[in-house]
Amino acid sequence: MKLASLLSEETICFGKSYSNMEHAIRETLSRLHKSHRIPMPLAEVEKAVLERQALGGTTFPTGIAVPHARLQNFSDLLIGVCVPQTPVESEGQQVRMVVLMLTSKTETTLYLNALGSFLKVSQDSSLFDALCKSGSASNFLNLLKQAQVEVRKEITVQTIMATSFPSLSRSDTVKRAADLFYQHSTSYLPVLEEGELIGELTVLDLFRIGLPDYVFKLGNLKFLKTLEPFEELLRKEEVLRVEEVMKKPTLFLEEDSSIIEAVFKFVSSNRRHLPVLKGKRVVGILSYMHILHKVLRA
Amino acid sequence: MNLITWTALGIFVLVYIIISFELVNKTVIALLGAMVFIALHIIGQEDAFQSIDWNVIFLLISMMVIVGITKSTGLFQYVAIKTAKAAKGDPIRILVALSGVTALFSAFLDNVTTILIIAPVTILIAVELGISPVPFLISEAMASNIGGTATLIGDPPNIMIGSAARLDFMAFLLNLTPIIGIIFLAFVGIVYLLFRKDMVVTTERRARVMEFDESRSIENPVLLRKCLIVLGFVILGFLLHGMLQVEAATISMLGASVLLLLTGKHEIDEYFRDIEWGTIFFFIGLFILVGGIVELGVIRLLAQKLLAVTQGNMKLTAVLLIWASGIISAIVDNIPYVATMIPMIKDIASSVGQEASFPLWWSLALGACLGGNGTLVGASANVIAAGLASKSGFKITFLDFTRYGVLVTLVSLVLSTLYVLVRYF
Repeated sequence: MKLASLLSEETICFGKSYSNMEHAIRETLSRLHKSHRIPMPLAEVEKAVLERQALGGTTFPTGIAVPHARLQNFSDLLIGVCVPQTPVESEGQQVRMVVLMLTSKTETTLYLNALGSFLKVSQDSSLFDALCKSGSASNFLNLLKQAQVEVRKEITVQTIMATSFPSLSRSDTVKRAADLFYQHSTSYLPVLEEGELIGELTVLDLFRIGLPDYVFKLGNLKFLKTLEPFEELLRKEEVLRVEEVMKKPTLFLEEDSSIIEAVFKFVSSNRRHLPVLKGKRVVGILSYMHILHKVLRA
Repeated sequence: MNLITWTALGIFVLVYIIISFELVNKTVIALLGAMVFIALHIIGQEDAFQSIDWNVIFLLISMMVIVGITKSTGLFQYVAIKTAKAAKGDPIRILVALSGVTALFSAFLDNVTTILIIAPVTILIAVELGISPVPFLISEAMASNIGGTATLIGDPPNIMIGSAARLDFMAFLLNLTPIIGIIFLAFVGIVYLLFRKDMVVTTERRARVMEFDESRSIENPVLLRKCLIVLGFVILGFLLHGMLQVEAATISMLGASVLLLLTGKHEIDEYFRDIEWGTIFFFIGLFILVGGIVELGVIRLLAQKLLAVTQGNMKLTAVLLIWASGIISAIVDNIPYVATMIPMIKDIASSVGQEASFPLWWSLALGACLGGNGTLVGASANVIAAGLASKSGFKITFLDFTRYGVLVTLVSLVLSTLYVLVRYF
């Protein structure tokens, strides 16, 4: 499906100035409300969008903002676009294009894919720039059609995974691993060799170095205040190599794995992160929080 | 002997070789052998089921349930830490005291269970003391084999012997516990002399162990109280079961059922997970195999051969039994060995009389249980201790264990021989 097919000229607005993001949202929303049959008063829809907006996370560094809301008793996807004359400030970013989306409480696939397509458009700086400068709704739609921007029918992990991520090599020290976990606030690091996945390390694996096997045979450790091997871990983290402590990769996703496959793997393996592979190369990391942020609360 | 007897014997020996060298999982091969016996009509279907000693099966299952529940309360860990602290953090004293606790636990629990409980906390203590846990683990594995010999329920061979020879808990206590006490003292002397020099630690290290707060290792005080009450009644029941004319299996299964009821849980699968079904089915397979061999008269033939060698001299037979059992058990699994010897001794008993054969049962128990200390592979407890050590980064090789094991076993068997000769002849 073409992204342009989901839009109509009357809901694309150009060249107006807005005092702030809320102003831009209200204007775009009232245009949408006028042109489509929405079974809710405008004020209620506005409330829903602004409440979601207050949670944050709808503005992207590429200069696009996607305020949205899921509506009761509504089973459609409506998209309104607004390109302000001068960028509007939102969440510390300068927004050049506002894409407002209204969808049902339950629909996810089409909505997320449309969202994904807009984000992709915003990453293509020449196309994004051309769209922002197109000057009219019909030019905007024509440009989109020419660029053949597609909306995928299903959502796959590549839509929501992180494509830039820290990684380790087998000769790195455990200290470097601990530093990377800390700096990137992550609990998972893939170990790569020429882009291929050869191992994995989690923060728990790091702790595990300081907890030898016998400790797990003890019912509990309540009677201890310190543990010699755990203290030793701190002493030897500069000597230990990642390859000595990493785990062999067992579970992974592929780019076109479905969200439900990912959810199943997270739950059944009790993991928080999964590497996403294309052939043998790691192209992304999917965290269970990506599912929460980009699917359940998208 | 006809073709079917030779076939049966061939299968039997093959199964025993596979079990001894652990070529395949021993439960699988015992069950497979047993089913081949039935399929080939070496033993009839009904007779096969009859030959399973349900006293042994029920006693094992029920003790596994009771121990599993008690283990979850942290009781055993509490005792181990308390012991280490009572020894003032002094390593050689800890080694002796923990060996004592191990022997005591093992007299009432399965040897492997005892090691699984004691070894992890022992490794922890040794590591905190900054010394190798290997001497501790070797001593404890041997202490568990010695302690297990003391009672009817301490070791599977004793359970089998007790059930087959109709010897009650009290009989084991009167006949085996005294000599095991003596052997244990000799064992403590040996390990003290052997390991004393390795046991040097700093005051700071001792202080670390003295800092352990054992009272915090008790997880569920309410359940613990229930466990202690039930365990108390079960042990009392064991002491009286001969008098009450109730099998030990019934006493322990009653205890297990009451304890399961007292846990107040509707779902009991969690507790049944502590049952080692592999071991249970190993016994079932073994009983059928031995049943088949007995049926064919092979055991009777061997018993007659043995009596011919010893010329019916019970004294000589008893001594031979101690040493043969000791040496064989040091090399192969003592459970299949005892399972095979039981019908043989029964056969001897039927020709020389119950009274005269009485010392033979004790000779078998002493030889088979104590022989397990002879080598690293002589008893499951040794293998488990070495396994736990190696997973935690400490290696116990076959020779590491065996050079101490041979000495301890020789001393044990000499003391056992003297005891049997002095007490029964």
